[in-house]
Formats: sequence, C-alpha cells, structure tokens
Amino acid sequence: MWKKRKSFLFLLMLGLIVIFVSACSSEGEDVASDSGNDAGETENNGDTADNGEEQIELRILWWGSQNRHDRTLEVIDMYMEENPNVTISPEFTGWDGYWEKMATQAAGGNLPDIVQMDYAYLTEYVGRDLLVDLNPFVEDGTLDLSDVEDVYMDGGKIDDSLYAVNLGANVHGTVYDPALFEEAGVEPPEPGYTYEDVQSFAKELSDNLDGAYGVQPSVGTNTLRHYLRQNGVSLYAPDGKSLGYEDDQLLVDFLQNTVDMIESGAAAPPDVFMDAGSNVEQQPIVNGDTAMLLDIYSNQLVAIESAAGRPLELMLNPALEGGEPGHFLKPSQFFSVTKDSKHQEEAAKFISYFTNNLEANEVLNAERGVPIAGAVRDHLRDKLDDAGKKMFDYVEMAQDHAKPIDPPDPQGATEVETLYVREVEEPIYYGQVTPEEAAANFREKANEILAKNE
Amino acid sequence: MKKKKQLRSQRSIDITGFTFIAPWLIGFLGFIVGPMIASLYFSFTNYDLLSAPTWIGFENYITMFTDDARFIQALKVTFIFVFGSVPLKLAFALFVAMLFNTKRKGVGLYRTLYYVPSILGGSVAVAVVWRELFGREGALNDVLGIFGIEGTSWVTSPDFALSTLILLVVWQFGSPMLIFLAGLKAIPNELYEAAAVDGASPFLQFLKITLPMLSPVIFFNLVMQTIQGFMAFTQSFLITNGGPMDRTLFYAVYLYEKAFAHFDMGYASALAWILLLICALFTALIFKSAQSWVYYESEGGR
Repeated sequence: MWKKRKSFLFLLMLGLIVIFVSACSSEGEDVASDSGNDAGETENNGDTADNGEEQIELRILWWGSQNRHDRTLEVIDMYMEENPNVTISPEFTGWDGYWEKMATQAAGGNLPDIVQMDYAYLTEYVGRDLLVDLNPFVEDGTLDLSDVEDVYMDGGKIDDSLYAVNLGANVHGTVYDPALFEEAGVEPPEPGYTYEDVQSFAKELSDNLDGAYGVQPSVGTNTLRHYLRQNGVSLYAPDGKSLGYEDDQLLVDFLQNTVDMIESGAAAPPDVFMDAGSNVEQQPIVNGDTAMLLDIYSNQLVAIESAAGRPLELMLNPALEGGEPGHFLKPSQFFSVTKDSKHQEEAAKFISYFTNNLEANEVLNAERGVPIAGAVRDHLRDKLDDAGKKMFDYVEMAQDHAKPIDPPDPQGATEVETLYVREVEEPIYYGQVTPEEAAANFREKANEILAKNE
Repeated sequence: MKKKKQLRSQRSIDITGFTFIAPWLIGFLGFIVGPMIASLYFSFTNYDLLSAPTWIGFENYITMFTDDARFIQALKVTFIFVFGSVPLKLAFALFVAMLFNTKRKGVGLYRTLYYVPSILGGSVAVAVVWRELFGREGALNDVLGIFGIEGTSWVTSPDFALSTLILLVVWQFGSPMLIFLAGLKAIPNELYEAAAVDGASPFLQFLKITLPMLSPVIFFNLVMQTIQGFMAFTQSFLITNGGPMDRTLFYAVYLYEKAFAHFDMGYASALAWILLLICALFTALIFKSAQSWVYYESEGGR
C-alpha cells in the first residue's frame, strides 16, 4: 500500500516535470515559428485580414510627458470604441530608460507591435532588422499617406523603404518667459539675434532679476549640432566612420561660450538645472528660475507651457554671424511597426488612424509636433490653443532659417552620445575641464567608437 | 539477494529525493547555471544582443584593463561605495539592534517600523523620495535654510552625489539589524551579570563580551553586505543614473549601460564575470581573516 502511494507520488512529480519542461520547449517553438513568420509576412497578414472579427491585441509603446500620456490614452480608447475587435494595451515611460526598455524587449523577441521611434535611433534599429518596411501597407491603402508631403516622410525612409511614420514636424529652438524679460526691462530676442547678444542680455537679466538667472545654458548635442550646421559641417561624417568636423576649435568656441556665461553669472549654475534631467516639465524655467531655456524642440512647448501655467514664447536659436542657417525640419518622433508583431496590418491601420483622423488629432492637439497630414493641419489651425498656435507659427517661421536635415546618425551614435554627456557636457557645466581638453578628448574617443563601423 | 534489495531501495530513495527537489533543481539549472554558462561564452564574443555572436577570445577582458577609463572609474566608485557604506551600515545596524535588545513595552512595533526602510529600499518610490529630499528644492535644503545655510542639489552635485547614495544604503539597515538582534538575544545573560559583579563598565562589557560573542554574526553580515554592496544597482540607476560625470557610476550600472544602452552584450558579460571574481576574492579575504577575529563557542574558545 505504502509502496503504491509512493509510486503514485513519483508519477505525479514526473507528470509535473513533463508539463514544466514541455511548457518551456513549446515556448521555444513559438520563438522559432515567429522568425518563420518574418519570412512569410505577407501571407500571414492576409490571414488576419480575412477573419477581421477575431480579437486582436496590439501593444504600443511610447515615451513622453504626462500631457502626452493622457492624450494618447484617450485616442487609444477612441480607436478601441470604433474597432471593438481590437484591444490595445499601452506601455509608456519618460525618455529616461525608454531605450533600455526597448532593447530588453528586442533581445527577448518581445517588442510591442507599435513603438515610438526617434530619428537618432532609427538606423540602429533598422540596421538590426527589427522594424518592418511599411511601403506594402502604403501601397494597398491600409496606411493612408496620400495627404502627406514628401518632406514630412523623408526622415523615416532608409534606402527608399519606409520604416517609420513621422508623427509631427519639429524644429529645435529656445523658449523664453516674456514676463521675466519685462520685469527685468530687457528686450526679448528677435530672429537674427546672435550668440554675443545672448551673452549680454542674459547677464542683464541675471543682474536685474531677483532670484532668477538669465538663461539655462546648453552644451547638449542638440545645440552642438545646430552650431556645427551653422558652420557648414555636421556632427558625424557622411560615411559614419568618424566625426563630421575637422577643426576642434569649433567645439572649443562652442563650449567656451557657455563657460563664459556660467562664470559671469549670466547662465544658471548646474545645480539649478541638473535635477530636472531631460524632464521637460521640471526645467527651471517652469518655476521662473531662469528666463530662457536654450535647448527645446518646438513640440515640447505644449507640455512646458501647461506645466508652467503661464505663456512662454518660442524663439529661433541664436544666429552665427556670417554663418549658415542651422535649423531643420525634424521628425519629432515616429511610429514604427516591429518584426515581432503578429498583426502588422492592424498596427499599420492604427498608425493610419493616428495620422489622419481629425477627432483623434483634436485630442492629440499637435503635442507631438505639427501634424504631417495636410487636412489635419488645416483642421487644427483654428482649433488650437495658444501653445499650439505658437508652435505652428514657429515651425513655419523656422523654415525660412532652415536647410535640409543631416542623414540619420550612424551606428554607435548612442555610445558617442553617452561619451559626450559624461566627458564633455557635464564636466563643462561643473567647470571640471577646459573646452580645449574636452574637445581633444571627445575627438579621440568618439572616433575610436565610430571607427568600428565597417 | 538482500543486498540487491537494499541497493534498489537506495536508488528509489535517491529518486524520491531528487523528485522532491526537482522544481528547485530545474529552476536552478534553467535560470542560474544555464545563463551563467551562456554569459561565460558571450564574454569571449562580440555580441550585440540581436545578431549572432562572433568569437573574439580574450579581447573583451584585455580592452577592459588596458583601454577603458570608465571601467576603472566604475571600479573606483564601487570600491568607495562598498568600503564607505558597509562599515557604516553595520555599525548603525548594531547600534539600533542594541537599543532594541530590551524588554521595554512596544519594542516589537519599533523593530517592525525600523525594518520598513530595507523592504522599501530597492524600490522606485524610495528613489523618488530621495530625490525629493536631497534635490535642490528638497526637504534637506529647507531645513538647512532655517539655519541660514544655502544648500545645493545634493543628488546631482559631483562632490556629494555618492555620499547621498551611501546615506541611503546606510538607512536601509533593517536586515542586518534583525540578524544582530537575534545574535544579541543568544548571548547568555550570566556573562553580563558576572562582569557586572566584577565591576566592568558597560563599555568594557560591550568590548569584552558583546563583540566577541557576536563575531560570527558580524562575520555573516559583513560577507552578505559586502557582496550586496558590489552588486548595488538600483540606488545609482534610479537616483543619479551614474552621473554627474560618472561620479556615481556603480559597476552594475556600467554593466547595464554597456549591455542595454550600447548593445555590447559580450563586453557586459565579461564585466559580469570580473565582478564575480571580485566578489569571490573579497569573500575569500574575509573568510581568511575570520580565523583571527571570529569566535566560535563550540570550538572551545578558539
């Protein structure tokens, strides 16, 4: 009797093990058949279209501010109401940590169906074969881009394949607080103002304001790119194997400008703005700690103004005397469909809705940048709140000070960015290196990283 | 005949035993040993996470020691962190444990309350709270402001960021405290009574009775906390993200950055194995030194 019971227990355990192990191995098969799907994509998509009533689950991932989360979630609810067979589960974070999250999911073969993509990372993800070419969906009309001009689409194309759909057009710029300028009795900047002008009016602002600084300085890569473009070069060489500028003096001058401003008290010291990181809603200008912020993208005005609760103004970047125009029309961010997606057509359908639907875009309120579909732009223009109108006007004005966008960043660019932040940007703010040292060090190490590109 | 039967039953006992630990065994092999072997292999390859790894021999290890200033920086930061936080944390934990080693009313409640920080320790919520406390407009600066001292943003200051993180870890003294408390309770009261009769002061009692009797517990806590210290990740990653200027670049944060931000999984695997060796080395050193300071009653006073 006892023996029987023991062997029964034994069998039970064995059974459990078998279930456990087979669960593991069937997981493995799934992965294998996934990669099989990639090859036979089109057939598979045909299947899903046939039985449209089947419950479809889409995952979507984006980064952004609270403002963006609220708006996007509302649009997702609207879409699910119109398409009862589709369930969309959203995942969202801030910019910090977003790419780590993506990479982890990519490695696990578990990317969401739709991901928000950035211009800086596009080559990296396309180069690793993680994104789907959307041209077939554009051709068969699933993804309707008939109302979109080429200039808005080009940023998402690599070798004529469309890997990413632009969600809004953006222009880099600065933002200032008109009330603080008035309080200090300083004339706000006008288009055409120069780097020297910033030096002088920032100092004046700092002197005249009680407890606020003139500007929040920026030696980040966005402003650096702009400065290099004004000098007729770019950050990366066209072949992506080295830096795009020859003369270190360019970087030295660029850094020295900020060092001078911090030393003279025209610009806020780092402990005022380092807390905020890349979080738009916490930048010191929101609390009135600085009168001007020198690094912002036009679409961020919507979030930063709503966080501040008072009007702020967008302005061009400072001009370089005798230099070229530095601005460019940048895709603020994209939606891409990933290779891991089992419902690529449904994903494309959602992107189409997001791009073209008027009510959805009323909710989105151009928070991701000026919409790319003509009808949506026209529709929104009258309905926009002040922040949105300023953004539209700014993007329009900046076109007169723009030249074409640089090609997407080469592979390894993310590592170069880390290097720049750690060994140039932060030490310059804290006065730990001289611009000359920083520039030489950056060239040496960045070229070493980029040289790995074959 | 009899022997054969014995053998069979021995085997069936073995099988039963293995069957019972099978869930653990499978987990251990599948989730610990397997990944470890994989990472050992990856550490000799150039592997970007998404395409197939290519074998490059010892190159990752060579680069690490000859051509990677950030690796050296990460080591430096981690060593400062471990040697700064572990002694402070243990001393503090012992201090609090001794406060609680009384029979006063409500002491159980306090023990629980003081344990809470270490449960919350690794969580995102505490990281946010820490930023709020030590940020530029944080509570600490408000308090300092009362005394007319102007604070800075402690978590982003290159001079203070690491100390802020050490403070956070010291604050999470709960689990070593509980272990110390158990150790203190195990010390026979007669020893103290005898010492008191002989006229030993409380300080002398602490030095001559508490510390030696507690040394096995101190030893255990030291080993555990040192290993934990080397592997610290959350504090730096969530509060300072390794910055400013790599001043809080914990080893584990650097490893993570290499793996998931720069897609350099091969190099990150190599980093992980070096970390394992470092942990092993320090644990061995502590064990070796233990012979001279750890006192085991059962070994007859040696």
